[in-house]
Amino acid sequence: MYMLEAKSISFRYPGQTKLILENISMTLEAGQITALTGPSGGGKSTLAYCLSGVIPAQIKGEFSGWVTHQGRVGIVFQDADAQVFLPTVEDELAFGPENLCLPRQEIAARINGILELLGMEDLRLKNPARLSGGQKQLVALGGVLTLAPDILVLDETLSQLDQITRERVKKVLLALKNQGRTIIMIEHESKINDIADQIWLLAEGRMQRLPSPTGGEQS
Amino acid sequence: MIDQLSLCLYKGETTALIGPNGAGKTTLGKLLTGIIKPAAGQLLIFGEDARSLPLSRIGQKVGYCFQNPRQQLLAASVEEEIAFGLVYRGVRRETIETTVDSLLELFEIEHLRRAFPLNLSWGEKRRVVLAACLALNPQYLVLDEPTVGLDAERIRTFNRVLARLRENGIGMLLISHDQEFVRENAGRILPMEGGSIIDDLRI
Repeated sequence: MYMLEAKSISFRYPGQTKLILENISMTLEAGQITALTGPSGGGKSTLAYCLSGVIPAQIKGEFSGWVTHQGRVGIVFQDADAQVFLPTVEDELAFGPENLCLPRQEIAARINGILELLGMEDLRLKNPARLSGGQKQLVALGGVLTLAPDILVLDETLSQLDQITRERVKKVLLALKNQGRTIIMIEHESKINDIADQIWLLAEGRMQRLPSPTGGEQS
Repeated sequence: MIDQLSLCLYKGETTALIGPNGAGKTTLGKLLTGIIKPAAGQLLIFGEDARSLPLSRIGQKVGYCFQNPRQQLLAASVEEEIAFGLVYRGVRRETIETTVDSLLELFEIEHLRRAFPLNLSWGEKRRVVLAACLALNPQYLVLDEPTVGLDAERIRTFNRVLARLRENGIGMLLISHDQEFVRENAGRILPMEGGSIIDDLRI
Protein backbone atom coordinates (compact mmCIF):
# COMPACT_ATOMS: atom_id res chain seq x y z
CA MET A 1 0.00 0.00 0.00
CA TYR A 2 1.36 3.42 -0.88
CA MET A 3 1.84 6.05 1.82
CA LEU A 4 0.84 8.73 -0.66
CA GLU A 5 -0.80 8.42 -4.03
CA ALA A 6 -1.46 11.34 -6.36
CA LYS A 7 -3.54 10.70 -9.46
CA SER A 8 -3.99 12.98 -12.45
CA ILE A 9 -3.24 16.21 -10.59
CA SER A 10 -3.74 19.33 -12.66
CA PHE A 11 -3.70 22.87 -11.36
CA ARG A 12 -4.01 26.39 -12.70
CA TYR A 13 -3.60 29.53 -10.55
CA PRO A 14 -6.37 32.16 -10.78
CA GLY A 15 -5.88 34.49 -13.71
CA GLN A 16 -3.39 32.21 -15.45
CA THR A 17 -4.10 30.66 -18.84
CA LYS A 18 -1.52 27.91 -18.56
CA LEU A 19 -1.70 24.84 -16.33
CA ILE A 20 1.23 24.80 -13.95
CA LEU A 21 0.66 21.11 -13.28
CA GLU A 22 -0.74 18.82 -15.93
CA ASN A 23 -1.97 15.32 -15.24
CA ILE A 24 0.64 14.49 -12.60
CA SER A 25 0.57 11.06 -11.03
CA MET A 26 3.01 9.70 -8.50
CA THR A 27 3.27 7.32 -5.57
CA LEU A 28 5.39 7.42 -2.46
CA GLU A 29 6.19 4.39 -0.36
CA ALA A 30 7.03 4.07 3.31
CA GLY A 31 10.69 4.31 4.20
CA GLN A 32 11.62 6.12 1.01
CA ILE A 33 13.23 9.47 0.19
CA THR A 34 12.09 10.99 -3.08
CA ALA A 35 13.86 13.92 -4.68
CA LEU A 36 11.90 16.31 -6.87
CA THR A 37 13.95 18.57 -9.07
CA GLY A 38 13.39 20.82 -12.07
CA PRO A 39 13.70 24.35 -13.40
CA SER A 40 12.68 27.39 -11.44
CA GLY A 41 8.97 28.16 -11.91
CA GLY A 42 8.28 24.61 -13.07
CA GLY A 43 5.63 23.84 -10.45
CA LYS A 44 7.57 22.03 -7.75
CA SER A 45 6.29 24.07 -4.82
CA THR A 46 2.79 23.94 -6.30
CA LEU A 47 3.01 20.14 -6.38
CA ALA A 48 4.22 20.17 -2.76
CA TYR A 49 1.12 22.18 -1.83
CA CYS A 50 -1.10 19.67 -3.67
CA LEU A 51 0.52 16.66 -1.99
CA SER A 52 0.14 18.22 1.46
CA GLY A 53 -3.41 19.47 0.97
CA VAL A 54 -2.55 23.17 1.10
CA ILE A 55 -4.01 23.16 -2.40
CA PRO A 56 -7.00 23.19 -2.65
CA ALA A 57 -7.74 23.89 1.04
CA GLN A 58 -5.86 27.20 1.36
CA ILE A 59 -4.79 28.23 -2.13
CA LYS A 60 -7.54 28.74 -4.67
CA GLY A 61 -7.37 27.85 -8.32
CA GLU A 62 -8.54 25.16 -10.74
CA PHE A 63 -7.58 21.87 -9.13
CA SER A 64 -8.41 18.42 -10.45
CA GLY A 65 -7.32 14.91 -9.60
CA TRP A 66 -6.92 13.42 -6.16
CA VAL A 67 -4.38 12.73 -3.45
CA THR A 68 -4.68 10.05 -0.80
CA HIS A 69 -2.28 9.38 2.04
CA GLN A 70 -1.85 7.15 5.06
CA GLY A 71 -1.17 9.08 8.24
CA ARG A 72 -0.22 12.72 8.78
CA VAL A 73 1.55 14.94 6.28
CA GLY A 74 3.92 17.70 7.37
CA ILE A 75 5.21 20.38 5.00
CA VAL A 76 8.16 22.72 5.48
CA PHE A 77 7.72 25.71 3.19
CA GLN A 78 10.51 27.16 1.07
CA ASP A 79 9.92 30.52 2.74
CA ALA A 80 10.47 29.97 6.45
CA ASP A 81 9.14 33.46 7.17
CA ALA A 82 5.73 32.17 6.08
CA GLN A 83 5.81 29.40 8.68
CA VAL A 84 7.50 30.82 11.74
CA PHE A 85 5.49 33.27 13.82
CA LEU A 86 5.81 32.70 17.58
CA PRO A 87 7.95 34.61 20.11
CA THR A 88 10.46 31.85 20.83
CA VAL A 89 11.85 28.78 19.12
CA GLU A 90 10.49 26.66 21.96
CA ASP A 91 6.99 28.05 21.32
CA GLU A 92 7.36 27.19 17.62
CA LEU A 93 8.21 23.58 18.40
CA ALA A 94 5.44 23.32 20.99
CA PHE A 95 2.71 24.76 18.80
CA GLY A 96 1.84 21.64 16.81
CA PRO A 97 1.84 19.13 19.71
CA GLU A 98 -0.14 21.59 21.88
CA ASN A 99 -2.79 21.77 19.19
CA LEU A 100 -2.88 17.98 19.15
CA CYS A 101 -3.59 18.19 22.92
CA LEU A 102 -0.65 15.96 23.81
CA PRO A 103 0.31 15.69 27.51
CA ARG A 104 2.75 18.34 28.71
CA GLN A 105 5.52 15.87 29.48
CA GLU A 106 5.22 14.45 25.97
CA ILE A 107 5.44 17.93 24.46
CA ALA A 108 8.50 18.77 26.55
CA ALA A 109 10.18 15.51 25.57
CA ARG A 110 9.53 16.12 21.88
CA ILE A 111 10.87 19.68 22.07
CA ASN A 112 14.02 18.60 23.89
CA GLY A 113 14.54 15.76 21.44
CA ILE A 114 14.17 17.88 18.32
CA LEU A 115 16.31 20.72 19.68
CA GLU A 116 19.09 18.23 20.32
CA LEU A 117 18.59 16.38 17.03
CA LEU A 118 18.92 19.57 14.99
CA GLY A 119 21.63 21.12 17.18
CA MET A 120 19.41 24.04 18.17
CA GLU A 121 19.58 23.85 21.98
CA ASP A 122 21.16 27.31 22.23
CA LEU A 123 18.30 28.78 20.19
CA ARG A 124 15.52 27.56 22.51
CA LEU A 125 14.53 30.94 23.91
CA LYS A 126 15.52 33.05 20.90
CA ASN A 127 12.99 34.99 18.87
CA PRO A 128 12.75 33.23 15.50
CA ALA A 129 12.17 36.55 13.72
CA ARG A 130 15.69 37.60 14.75
CA LEU A 131 17.39 34.44 13.52
CA SER A 132 19.30 34.02 10.29
CA GLY A 133 17.56 32.58 7.23
CA GLY A 134 19.15 29.17 7.71
CA GLN A 135 18.29 29.08 11.41
CA LYS A 136 14.67 29.95 10.59
CA GLN A 137 14.59 27.05 8.15
CA LEU A 138 15.78 24.74 10.92
CA VAL A 139 13.11 26.09 13.26
CA ALA A 140 10.42 25.52 10.63
CA LEU A 141 11.69 21.95 10.16
CA GLY A 142 11.76 21.41 13.92
CA GLY A 143 8.20 22.70 14.26
CA VAL A 144 7.03 20.09 11.75
CA LEU A 145 9.11 17.25 13.21
CA THR A 146 7.58 17.69 16.67
CA LEU A 147 4.30 16.67 15.03
CA ALA A 148 5.92 13.33 14.10
CA PRO A 149 4.38 13.26 10.63
CA ASP A 150 4.32 10.01 8.66
CA ILE A 151 4.97 11.87 5.43
CA LEU A 152 7.33 14.83 5.23
CA VAL A 153 7.27 17.31 2.33
CA LEU A 154 10.37 19.53 2.34
CA ASP A 155 10.52 22.48 -0.05
CA GLU A 156 14.20 23.49 -0.45
CA THR A 157 14.76 23.04 3.26
CA LEU A 158 18.50 22.57 2.79
CA SER A 159 18.99 25.60 0.56
CA GLN A 160 20.03 28.13 3.20
CA LEU A 161 21.83 25.77 5.54
CA ASP A 162 25.59 25.75 5.92
CA GLN A 163 27.42 22.57 4.93
CA ILE A 164 27.73 21.12 8.44
CA THR A 165 24.08 21.72 9.29
CA ARG A 166 23.01 20.34 5.92
CA GLU A 167 24.83 17.06 6.57
CA ARG A 168 23.29 16.90 10.04
CA VAL A 169 19.80 17.32 8.61
CA LYS A 170 20.47 14.67 5.97
CA LYS A 171 21.44 12.23 8.74
CA VAL A 172 18.17 13.06 10.51
CA LEU A 173 16.23 12.40 7.32
CA LEU A 174 17.98 9.08 6.79
CA ALA A 175 17.11 8.09 10.36
CA LEU A 176 13.47 9.03 9.73
CA LYS A 177 13.48 7.01 6.53
CA ASN A 178 14.82 4.01 8.43
CA GLN A 179 11.94 4.42 10.87
CA GLY A 180 9.61 3.97 7.91
CA ARG A 181 8.71 7.62 7.30
CA THR A 182 8.10 8.87 3.79
CA ILE A 183 10.00 11.94 2.64
CA ILE A 184 9.79 14.01 -0.51
CA MET A 185 12.36 16.76 -0.95
CA ILE A 186 12.33 19.54 -3.48
CA GLU A 187 15.86 20.62 -4.23
CA HIS A 188 17.45 22.25 -7.24
CA GLU A 189 20.85 20.78 -6.94
CA SER A 190 22.41 17.43 -6.47
CA LYS A 191 22.54 18.11 -2.71
CA ILE A 192 20.47 15.06 -1.91
CA ASN A 193 21.26 12.57 -4.64
CA ASP A 194 23.33 10.67 -2.08
CA ILE A 195 20.27 9.99 0.10
CA ALA A 196 17.43 9.86 -2.47
CA ASP A 197 15.87 6.53 -3.42
CA GLN A 198 14.19 7.99 -6.47
CA ILE A 199 14.44 11.25 -8.39
CA TRP A 200 11.66 12.92 -10.34
CA LEU A 201 12.01 15.84 -12.73
CA LEU A 202 9.12 18.28 -12.97
CA ALA A 203 9.35 20.55 -15.99
CA GLU A 204 6.68 22.33 -18.04
CA GLY A 205 4.06 20.87 -15.68
CA ARG A 206 4.98 17.26 -16.46
CA MET A 207 6.78 14.60 -14.43
CA GLN A 208 9.55 12.31 -15.52
CA ARG A 209 11.38 9.79 -13.38
CA LEU A 210 15.15 10.02 -13.69
CA PRO A 211 17.69 7.22 -13.20
CA SER A 212 18.04 6.53 -9.53
CA PRO A 213 21.33 7.39 -7.85
CA THR A 214 22.02 3.65 -7.69
CA GLY A 215 21.60 3.41 -11.48
CA GLY A 216 18.07 2.02 -11.52
CA GLU A 217 15.49 2.25 -14.27
CA GLN A 218 14.14 5.34 -15.92
CA SER A 219 10.50 5.56 -16.95
CA MET B 1 25.77 40.35 17.01
CA ILE B 2 28.81 42.11 15.55
CA ASP B 3 31.55 43.49 17.77
CA GLN B 4 34.50 45.64 16.74
CA LEU B 5 34.55 44.56 13.13
CA SER B 6 36.81 46.43 10.70
CA LEU B 7 36.69 45.77 7.00
CA CYS B 8 37.49 47.34 3.63
CA LEU B 9 35.67 46.30 0.49
CA TYR B 10 37.06 47.51 -2.80
CA LYS B 11 35.39 48.78 -5.93
CA GLY B 12 35.79 46.38 -8.83
CA GLU B 13 36.47 43.42 -6.57
CA THR B 14 34.15 40.44 -5.95
CA THR B 15 34.22 39.32 -2.34
CA ALA B 16 32.39 36.35 -0.88
CA LEU B 17 31.21 36.31 2.71
CA ILE B 18 30.81 32.75 3.95
CA GLY B 19 30.21 31.08 7.27
CA PRO B 20 27.81 29.03 9.36
CA ASN B 21 24.18 29.96 9.92
CA GLY B 22 23.88 32.75 12.48
CA ALA B 23 27.43 34.04 11.95
CA GLY B 24 26.20 37.54 11.19
CA LYS B 25 26.56 37.57 7.40
CA THR B 26 23.18 39.07 6.59
CA THR B 27 23.49 41.52 9.47
CA LEU B 28 26.85 42.67 8.10
CA GLY B 29 25.38 43.00 4.61
CA LYS B 30 22.57 45.20 5.95
CA LEU B 31 25.05 47.32 7.95
CA LEU B 32 27.21 47.86 4.87
CA THR B 33 24.25 49.10 2.85
CA GLY B 34 22.86 51.38 5.58
CA ILE B 35 19.69 49.34 6.07
CA ILE B 36 20.62 49.03 9.73
CA LYS B 37 22.82 51.51 11.59
CA PRO B 38 25.83 50.49 13.70
CA ALA B 39 25.59 51.05 17.44
CA ALA B 40 29.17 52.36 17.38
CA GLY B 41 31.98 52.86 14.91
CA GLN B 42 32.06 54.40 11.48
CA LEU B 43 30.90 53.26 8.08
CA LEU B 44 32.15 54.98 4.94
CA ILE B 45 30.41 54.27 1.66
CA PHE B 46 32.43 55.49 -1.31
CA GLY B 47 34.24 57.78 1.13
CA GLU B 48 31.14 59.35 2.67
CA ASP B 49 29.99 58.83 6.25
CA ALA B 50 26.88 56.64 6.05
CA ARG B 51 25.33 58.42 9.05
CA SER B 52 24.93 61.55 6.96
CA LEU B 53 23.62 59.71 3.89
CA PRO B 54 19.92 59.04 3.40
CA LEU B 55 19.07 55.55 2.22
CA SER B 56 18.11 56.91 -1.20
CA ARG B 57 21.63 58.31 -1.72
CA ILE B 58 23.22 55.02 -0.68
CA GLY B 59 20.81 53.23 -2.99
CA GLN B 60 22.11 55.25 -5.93
CA LYS B 61 25.51 53.64 -5.52
CA VAL B 62 24.93 50.31 -3.79
CA GLY B 63 22.39 47.71 -4.87
CA TYR B 64 21.15 45.19 -2.33
CA CYS B 65 19.23 41.96 -2.85
CA PHE B 66 17.61 40.55 0.29
CA GLN B 67 17.98 36.93 1.27
CA ASN B 68 14.19 36.61 1.08
CA PRO B 69 13.10 38.19 -2.22
CA ARG B 70 9.54 38.53 -0.97
CA GLN B 71 10.70 41.31 1.37
CA GLN B 72 11.79 43.41 -1.57
CA LEU B 73 8.79 43.19 -3.89
CA LEU B 74 6.23 45.96 -3.87
CA ALA B 75 4.82 46.52 -7.35
CA ALA B 76 1.72 45.11 -9.02
CA SER B 77 3.57 43.58 -11.96
CA VAL B 78 7.05 42.34 -12.80
CA GLU B 79 7.67 45.12 -15.33
CA GLU B 80 6.63 47.76 -12.79
CA GLU B 81 8.92 46.16 -10.21
CA ILE B 82 11.94 46.38 -12.51
CA ALA B 83 11.04 49.90 -13.61
CA PHE B 84 10.26 51.20 -10.13
CA GLY B 85 13.64 52.67 -9.26
CA LEU B 86 14.09 54.20 -12.71
CA VAL B 87 10.67 55.86 -12.57
CA TYR B 88 11.52 57.21 -9.13
CA ARG B 89 14.73 58.70 -10.56
CA GLY B 90 12.85 60.41 -13.40
CA VAL B 91 14.52 58.45 -16.18
CA ARG B 92 12.99 58.91 -19.67
CA ARG B 93 10.19 56.50 -20.51
CA GLU B 94 11.93 55.13 -23.63
CA THR B 95 15.05 54.34 -21.62
CA ILE B 96 13.00 52.64 -18.93
CA GLU B 97 11.21 50.49 -21.52
CA THR B 98 14.48 49.46 -23.18
CA THR B 99 16.08 48.64 -19.82
CA VAL B 100 13.09 46.62 -18.66
CA ASP B 101 12.90 44.71 -21.97
CA SER B 102 16.58 43.80 -21.89
CA LEU B 103 16.47 42.65 -18.26
CA LEU B 104 13.32 40.59 -18.80
CA GLU B 105 15.13 38.86 -21.65
CA LEU B 106 18.39 38.43 -19.73
CA PHE B 107 16.68 36.71 -16.79
CA GLU B 108 14.24 34.78 -19.03
CA ILE B 109 11.15 36.26 -17.44
CA GLU B 110 9.56 37.96 -20.45
CA HIS B 111 6.53 35.67 -20.06
CA LEU B 112 6.08 37.06 -16.53
CA ARG B 113 6.04 40.72 -17.58
CA ARG B 114 2.51 41.36 -16.32
CA ALA B 115 2.49 38.76 -13.53
CA PHE B 116 1.93 39.77 -9.91
CA PRO B 117 5.38 39.31 -8.35
CA LEU B 118 4.17 37.91 -5.02
CA ASN B 119 2.45 35.03 -6.87
CA LEU B 120 5.68 33.87 -8.50
CA SER B 121 7.85 30.97 -7.39
CA TRP B 122 10.81 31.75 -5.13
CA GLY B 123 13.25 31.40 -8.01
CA GLU B 124 11.18 33.66 -10.25
CA LYS B 125 10.92 36.24 -7.45
CA ARG B 126 14.69 36.01 -7.07
CA ARG B 127 15.20 36.77 -10.77
CA VAL B 128 12.81 39.72 -10.63
CA VAL B 129 14.64 41.19 -7.65
CA LEU B 130 18.01 40.77 -9.35
CA ALA B 131 16.69 42.44 -12.49
CA ALA B 132 15.26 45.34 -10.48
CA CYS B 133 18.59 45.74 -8.69
CA LEU B 134 20.61 45.78 -11.91
CA ALA B 135 18.21 48.21 -13.60
CA LEU B 136 19.65 50.95 -11.40
CA ASN B 137 23.24 50.41 -12.57
CA PRO B 138 24.75 50.26 -9.09
CA GLN B 139 28.48 50.73 -8.64
CA TYR B 140 28.53 48.05 -5.98
CA LEU B 141 26.22 45.11 -5.31
CA VAL B 142 25.45 43.21 -2.13
CA LEU B 143 23.73 39.93 -2.95
CA ASP B 144 22.44 37.81 -0.07
CA GLU B 145 22.10 34.14 -1.07
CA PRO B 146 21.38 35.03 -4.71
CA THR B 147 21.39 31.46 -6.02
CA VAL B 148 18.77 30.01 -3.63
CA GLY B 149 15.79 29.00 -5.70
CA LEU B 150 17.65 29.12 -9.02
CA ASP B 151 18.18 25.97 -11.06
CA ALA B 152 21.60 25.06 -12.45
CA GLU B 153 20.96 26.58 -15.87
CA ARG B 154 19.81 29.88 -14.41
CA ILE B 155 22.81 29.97 -12.06
CA ARG B 156 25.04 29.62 -15.12
CA THR B 157 23.21 32.53 -16.77
CA PHE B 158 23.60 34.55 -13.61
CA ASN B 159 27.33 33.77 -13.46
CA ARG B 160 27.69 35.18 -16.97
CA VAL B 161 25.85 38.33 -15.89
CA LEU B 162 28.16 38.75 -12.92
CA ALA B 163 31.21 38.19 -15.11
CA ARG B 164 30.06 40.98 -17.39
CA LEU B 165 29.50 43.27 -14.43
CA ARG B 166 33.02 42.53 -13.20
CA GLU B 167 34.40 43.43 -16.62
CA ASN B 168 32.61 46.76 -16.27
CA GLY B 169 34.25 47.39 -12.92
CA ILE B 170 31.26 46.71 -10.68
CA GLY B 171 32.28 45.44 -7.26
CA MET B 172 30.18 43.00 -5.28
CA LEU B 173 29.78 41.24 -1.98
CA LEU B 174 28.28 37.77 -2.32
CA ILE B 175 26.81 36.24 0.81
CA SER B 176 26.41 32.58 -0.02
CA HIS B 177 26.49 28.96 1.14
CA ASP B 178 26.85 27.86 -2.48
CA GLN B 179 30.50 26.83 -2.65
CA GLU B 180 30.49 26.33 -6.39
CA PHE B 181 28.98 29.77 -6.96
CA VAL B 182 31.60 31.33 -4.66
CA ARG B 183 34.45 29.54 -6.42
CA GLU B 184 33.14 30.67 -9.81
CA ASN B 185 32.85 34.34 -8.91
CA ALA B 186 34.89 35.45 -5.92
CA GLY B 187 38.45 36.71 -5.94
CA ARG B 188 38.42 37.22 -2.19
CA ILE B 189 36.74 35.14 0.50
CA LEU B 190 35.94 36.32 4.01
CA PRO B 191 34.91 33.51 6.38
CA MET B 192 32.75 34.81 9.20
CA GLU B 193 31.95 33.25 12.54
CA GLY B 194 30.33 34.52 15.73
CA GLY B 195 30.08 38.07 14.42
CA SER B 196 33.74 38.32 13.40
CA ILE B 197 35.62 37.88 10.17
CA ILE B 198 38.14 35.19 10.92
CA ASP B 199 40.22 35.20 7.75
CA ASP B 200 40.81 37.08 4.51
CA LEU B 201 41.64 34.80 1.59
CA ARG B 202 42.73 35.90 -1.87
CA ILE B 203 42.04 33.41 -4.65
